[in-house]
Amino acid sequence: MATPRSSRWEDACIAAAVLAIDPKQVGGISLRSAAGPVRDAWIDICTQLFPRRTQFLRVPLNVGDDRLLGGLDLAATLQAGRPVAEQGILARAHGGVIVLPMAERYSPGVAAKIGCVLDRREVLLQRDGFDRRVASRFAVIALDEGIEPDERPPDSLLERLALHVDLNGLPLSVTAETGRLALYNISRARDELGRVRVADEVLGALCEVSIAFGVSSARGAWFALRVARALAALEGRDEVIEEDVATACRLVLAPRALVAPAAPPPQPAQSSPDQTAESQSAVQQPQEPHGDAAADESQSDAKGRPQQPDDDLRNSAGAQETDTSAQQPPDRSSPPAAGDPQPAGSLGDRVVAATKASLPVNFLGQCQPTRTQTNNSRQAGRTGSEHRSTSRGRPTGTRAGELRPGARVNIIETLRAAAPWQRLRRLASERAAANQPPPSATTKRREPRPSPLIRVSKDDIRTIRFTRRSRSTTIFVVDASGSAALHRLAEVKGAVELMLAESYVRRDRVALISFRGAAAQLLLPPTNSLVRAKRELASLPGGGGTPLAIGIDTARVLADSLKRRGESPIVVVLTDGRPNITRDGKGNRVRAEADAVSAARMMRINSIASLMVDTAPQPRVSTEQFAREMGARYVPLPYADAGTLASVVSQCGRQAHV
Amino acid sequence: MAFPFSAIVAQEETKQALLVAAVDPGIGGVLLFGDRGTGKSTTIRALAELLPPMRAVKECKYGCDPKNVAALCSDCRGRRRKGALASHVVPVPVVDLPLGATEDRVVGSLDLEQALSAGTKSFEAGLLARANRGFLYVDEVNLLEDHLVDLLLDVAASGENVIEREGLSVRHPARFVLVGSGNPEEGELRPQLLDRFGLSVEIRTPSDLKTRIEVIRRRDAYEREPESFVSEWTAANSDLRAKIKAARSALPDIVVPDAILERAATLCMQLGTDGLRGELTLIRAARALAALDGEDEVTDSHLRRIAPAALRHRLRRNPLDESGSTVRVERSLHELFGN
Repeated sequence: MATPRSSRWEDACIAAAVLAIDPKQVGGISLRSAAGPVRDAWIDICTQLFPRRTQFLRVPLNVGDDRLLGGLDLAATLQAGRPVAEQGILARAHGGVIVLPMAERYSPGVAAKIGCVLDRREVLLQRDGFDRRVASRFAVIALDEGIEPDERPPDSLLERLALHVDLNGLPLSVTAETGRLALYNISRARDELGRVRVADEVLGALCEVSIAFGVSSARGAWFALRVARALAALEGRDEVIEEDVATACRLVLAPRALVAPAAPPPQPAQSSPDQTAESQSAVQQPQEPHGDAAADESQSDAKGRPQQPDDDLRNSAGAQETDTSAQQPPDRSSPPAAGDPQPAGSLGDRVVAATKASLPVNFLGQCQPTRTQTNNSRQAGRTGSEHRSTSRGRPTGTRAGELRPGARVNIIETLRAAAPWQRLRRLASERAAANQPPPSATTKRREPRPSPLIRVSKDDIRTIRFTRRSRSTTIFVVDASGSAALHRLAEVKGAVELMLAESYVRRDRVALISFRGAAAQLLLPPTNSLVRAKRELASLPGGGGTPLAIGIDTARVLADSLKRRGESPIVVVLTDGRPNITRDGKGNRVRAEADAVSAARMMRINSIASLMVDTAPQPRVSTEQFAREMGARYVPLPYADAGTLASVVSQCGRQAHV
Repeated sequence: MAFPFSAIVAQEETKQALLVAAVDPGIGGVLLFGDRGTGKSTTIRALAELLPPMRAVKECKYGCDPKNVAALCSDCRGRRRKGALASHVVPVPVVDLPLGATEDRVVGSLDLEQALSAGTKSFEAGLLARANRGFLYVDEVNLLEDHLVDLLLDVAASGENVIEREGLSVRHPARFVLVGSGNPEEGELRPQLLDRFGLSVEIRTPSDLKTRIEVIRRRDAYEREPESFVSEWTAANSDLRAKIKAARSALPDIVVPDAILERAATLCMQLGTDGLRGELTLIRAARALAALDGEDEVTDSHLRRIAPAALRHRLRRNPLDESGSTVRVERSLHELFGN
């Protein structure tokens, strides 16, 4: 982390104060931290900053819609003899704070419902016969305990929380220090908030920073504006000054950054951001002595690999924004659009530099590729890997429906559904018994005497819905051409056997396709039988040309058919060389390469999860490029041994299908 | 108080699509798919305030149009036989279908209150009834429960909601413009649902600094003093409202020259859109757009402006051409119309 520990903690405390001042406009805080004393200390501080009677409501992880949004209060309804609504958590939280424990595990559905209430400032209840809108404004504290980069709260939720704070790695000792927190008067700041003025220059700077860091959502700059205002109010100022803008960008925009700003245009600007960063940290951020060192590091990183994140992003779906950031330097230096006369010294440029300094040192090298890749794999995983089922898997709620063979009835929910109608049905059946049967007889039994205790009709039946994780099949596509083929095949065989031995419990399957000469061959059809794999892979032929396109096409056809059956295939391509055999089996290097690229694109278009293992002694840029065309994760593995291969593949498979 | 429609910065394609649907509700719905934080929901809520009010039968649950005899609900038909229908002017409904809504509230069901207290059966209309003649808005449409999506598809196709449950048997008109919004990262939309939308818009964040500053500036002004901000835009909103009204009355007389029909057909053929729906929507939307422009004839320019929205979600995936569908439509337009 670039920001020193103490200032990270201080930032977290300031974020808590900002939330306490303006809880309704900043939406909330996403607090990334393992459970522990540091987090507890922060929560304590945060709770104390709020007015005394503020309520903090915890939203249970697997909360149902009836508890989240509200619905029919069955007990009260039956007692009162008229429908009584039960308020959901989101309506009850009005004026308070909701806490989401283990926020990284919330489903997009729950996140969307919370997000909708945050946006509308009211709960729309359209459930169980109730049609209500209940005003509700609250702040959210999302406790994100994720460890892996892609283990984080749903994007739709993060998007709506202004402040993102990371406490991971902080020692307990930092919590002794609360910085200037004790000096602040939160309630006075709340009153002053409306009077804080914002110069036009500040608006421009915030938008400039969001563009420079690839923050596409308008909420980024908007939240930064609200936070800057709260910071000014906190310090008792009636105008937002540069320091507020810089802090707001650090708290709001830096965590949302998708790209580091493109290296500034050649000569004069090259030195100036460093200088401004230095002078700024010396003058205006005395509490951050290490700021400029971090700036240097992250900037040298940016110069080292300026193009990479852009390329990565362009290959992922829906990342058009990068184009703007790539064109940024000329845009910003053209004064009419930016509206500032001297580009080097403008507020926007100074804040961009300061914000950049607050990014983690390894931001460019690490965060970027993983972020885009997880987006890809997430999507691929979501479409294919979860299946609603009425018979198998993990129960995830109930649904109204008829009794079909195989469906399992949820008795409690069925009785709940039937309960409100009992009086009506009793009356109806009495009437039916008294008169001649009416034309539209309700669905019920005919025998008049033993009146049933509870009248359950077809409409009441609730069946259990299950979510089943689909079976995954790993399809190895092995280049069996050339001299190194035998070695590669032997190691793949080892990996297949290892994976089958491991995956026995999960019932995952493995298939193997090899390609050489002018054809591809399905050596091992999808199987989870270790014995069969051993038998069929006993002797593997190798040598000849490299028909990569044919190999990939064969794998795609197989993967497609598996997908149609509801399974989740993942294709693992192992090759070390360039294709030299075309789709129709002719030797022509140029056409062979074109064919291979088109085969790879088909894989991506069909969103088949894939992994490209480069077994060449010297990993090649062209192979990596090719992996990108395929939408595959690229892994150079010059000395592919069975163990490493198996672990890489299963790791990739987990990420693609979780 | 909603954010004024005319104060929405950029997002021209979104606004155009919604206005076209407001002029000709028969176009078949609008889908807004794209980046987060682009004001999708804000725009739709703004639309509610913009729409010219309509005349509806008094005390009708479905807001029947007294002039459109063929589309009257059974109640209104009964009353009409007895005498003239009393009517009044009401705002056009823009109804939210929130995530987590239960089926009974969407289609309507037995009135629980009546059932519990009086033990009598009466039909309580749902959201589909309320949306009749107006707009039904589903935010995060790609997260909607499957069984609700099926239901919407069915009703949107037939224009009628049929309820057969709890011994009730009710059918009522439910003609509405379905507006869905969402973020494709949360999951793609099922192709059947995609096809039902007449127009689809790809929403992007504006990329130039000036526009983005203006977005924040207006939002801030609105949040700080909603009343005065809204009143600043009242005049612009009424102008737009008058434009919609004029376009609606001009719509039946808009001429579509044969040359335009031919061009539309060529365009659809070039792009390989499935079925005739794309072509019909394209022409219909171009007519509405011409009406909005106050012209009496559809021209190339109208076709060009509306073609991406009318066609981009109807293209088949082409393995040899992996560029996005918007790019493909633009390319074909370019070939067809030249520069």
